[in-house]
Amino acid sequence: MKILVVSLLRLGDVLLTAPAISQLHRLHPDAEIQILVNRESAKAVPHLPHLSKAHIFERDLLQQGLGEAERSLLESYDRLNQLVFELNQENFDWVINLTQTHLSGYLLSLVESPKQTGLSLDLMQNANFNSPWFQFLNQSLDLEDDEAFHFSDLFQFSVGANETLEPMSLLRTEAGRKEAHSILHSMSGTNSETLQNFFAIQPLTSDVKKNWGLDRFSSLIKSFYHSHAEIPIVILHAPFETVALQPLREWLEKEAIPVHWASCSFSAALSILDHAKYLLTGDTSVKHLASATNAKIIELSLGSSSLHRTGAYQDGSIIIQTQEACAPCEHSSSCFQKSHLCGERVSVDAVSAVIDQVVAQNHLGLRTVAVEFQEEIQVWTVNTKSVGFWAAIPQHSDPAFQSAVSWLDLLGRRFFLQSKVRGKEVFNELGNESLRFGRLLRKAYPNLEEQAWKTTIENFERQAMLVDMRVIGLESGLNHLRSKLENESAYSQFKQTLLVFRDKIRPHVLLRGHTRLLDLMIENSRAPGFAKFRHLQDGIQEMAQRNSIELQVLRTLSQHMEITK
Amino acid sequence: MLTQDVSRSGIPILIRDGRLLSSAVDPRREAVNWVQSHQALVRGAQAVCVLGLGSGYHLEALQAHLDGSAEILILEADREVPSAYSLALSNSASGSFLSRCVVFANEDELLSDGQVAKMICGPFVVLPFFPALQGHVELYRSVHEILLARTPTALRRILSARGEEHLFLNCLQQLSNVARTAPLSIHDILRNSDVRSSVDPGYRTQLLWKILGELIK
Repeated sequence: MKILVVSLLRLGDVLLTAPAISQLHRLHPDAEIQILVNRESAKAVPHLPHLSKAHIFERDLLQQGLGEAERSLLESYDRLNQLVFELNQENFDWVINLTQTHLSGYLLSLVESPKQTGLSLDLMQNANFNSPWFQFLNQSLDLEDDEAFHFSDLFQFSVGANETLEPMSLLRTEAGRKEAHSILHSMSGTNSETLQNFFAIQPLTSDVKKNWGLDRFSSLIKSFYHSHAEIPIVILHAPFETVALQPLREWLEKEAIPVHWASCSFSAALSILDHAKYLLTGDTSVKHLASATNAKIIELSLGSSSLHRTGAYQDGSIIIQTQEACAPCEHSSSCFQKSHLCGERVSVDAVSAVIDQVVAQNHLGLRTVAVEFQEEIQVWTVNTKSVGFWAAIPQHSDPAFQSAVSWLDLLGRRFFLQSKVRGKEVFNELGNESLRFGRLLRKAYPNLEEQAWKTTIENFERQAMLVDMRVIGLESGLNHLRSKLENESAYSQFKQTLLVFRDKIRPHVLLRGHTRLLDLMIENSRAPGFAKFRHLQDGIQEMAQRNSIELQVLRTLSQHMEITK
Repeated sequence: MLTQDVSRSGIPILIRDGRLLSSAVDPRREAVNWVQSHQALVRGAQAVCVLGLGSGYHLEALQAHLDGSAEILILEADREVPSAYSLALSNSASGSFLSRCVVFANEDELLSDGQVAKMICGPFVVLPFFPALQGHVELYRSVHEILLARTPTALRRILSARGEEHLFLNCLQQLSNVARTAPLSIHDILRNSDVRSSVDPGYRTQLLWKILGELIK
């Protein structure tokens, strides 16, 4: 089998596809896997596992061809036509589009293959997602960050993953290893050894909105040095960032704080991180590189960073997220605030305190710090092992069980979407997954007493029952509507029923996902007769199934509280 | 009349009716400067079409710069230049350039040439070497315009030569209302293409333009 993975986004996004490629290889060990990436992201390709070939989308050249009057009007057209021809020469059996853009959608409809997964668009802009997972991804752009799956998880599910998710695994290049060795060797100050177990800091990112500011990094490094003089500090950066980092360099020299400077290539950065003990960064690409190493990641989630969708894909990573209300902001637009508020909100004291607890491996201390600074930051620890999806556990207080609710919603949604692809057999895994979910809850809320646990689960169950009871009525209303497809007043009456139900369940935190479904059903009530009916039918069916899954999970939990301890 | 002289730097140069086809001082330096000024244009190119054979130094410089990464095709409107070039510059490179030089008297003759027909069916860039265009400036201007396909007439002409008018039928029909020499951009193509049926031969073409349209949003 020949598979093409299309990933036409930025470098960090291409790295996020690595677990899905590993998953594809696991499920189809004999398949030949190729990838299509933008030229600017091509440096990720040597690090992606199991690839036999890469095709390059020359975005810059195509744009130049279109915009410059001294070039043929047909130059870019011919270049693109040639790329499509080359792709079709490969005779792919399966094309997977991991890019949700119009561009990639149109491209997919030009690449011939018997099986396609992910967005394809025809000339009328009719979208075909060819997968419930991508259909959900499309809808989830309007959801809150914590209601969405991590992209790496979603990509893995979309290619057929069951409960076994692949970790971030990246290949090292020989050139990268050599460069890293040379840099770390020169830092060690000895003839035979390379620097090890250091604290790597990447102060700059490719997106200014994600920068924390060199002045804050200066103070943080000073504080770290005074508390942990035994741990070497390495400032990691790309060669082109040398000038921008000059003020930091001068300040550290003036303060006589010893740090090592690692100006290196992308490939060398990965090999350098293999020797690091900790990494502090706000940069997407470096964070994803580190996810494939043993370096403990402390991620600064600022600007457009969407922690639940693109957070560090490594178990145990720490994510420090600004509490500024406008974050996360739009990826493509510049910051509209007078100053970089999301970065300013995160104090050096807060980040230092988190790092101190990470270095001390003091989990309770981390929680204390998270609560102490929760006016300015949220602190999350990444969990990839407890339950069958990426989860960020709040270390700050979560009295409303917001995270538990999000996870239950994701769990229900995961089984619902997987059942559409894999059939009912997926429900055989529900019991085991419920117990794993229980363990995740125990980890996330370790201080909750036994009785409080019981009460919480019962409360959740009561909320889910509200939907369970109402769904039967909605289904029967729908049957009544089936015979009156063109009857507007019958639709209005049914819509009114949905509105009343939505208002009833809105206060219940557990039912947030169902409220959103009802929003969609009500909004779509202006569609033509049959389409409207179909939409309502799908919506109610989804609500019933997801709620039934969530109820089963809750009942398993209440019956097996002991096992989850 | 085509004559030969020696530049101040000591290498042979061609002169057409008293007009120099390359620098009389240092043609090699002129050639290198010319290539440098077109570096951005040839980056990533697969084929480069040079207007004017001239004294050929610009071709040597271009070949060195491209280092085999792109094909070079030379278009020459003066029938005497290739033989004079061959006599004047009897170096090893001259032969290879001559085999890639298409001599033409008018646009139709040029577009029906096998090498040209092959080149215009794929992506290419056009580089005019202005000193070498002496004596046929109008013809070169017209050829340059056709190759760039940035007017309705030129687009129609080049598509006809490629045998692809049917792929752009809808667009060309719409463009017939636009002045023949009006400058065209991708916006005009997108605005004037309205293929809706997937069985239309222009369906695939329009999808390609849609993708390109996404790149300029």
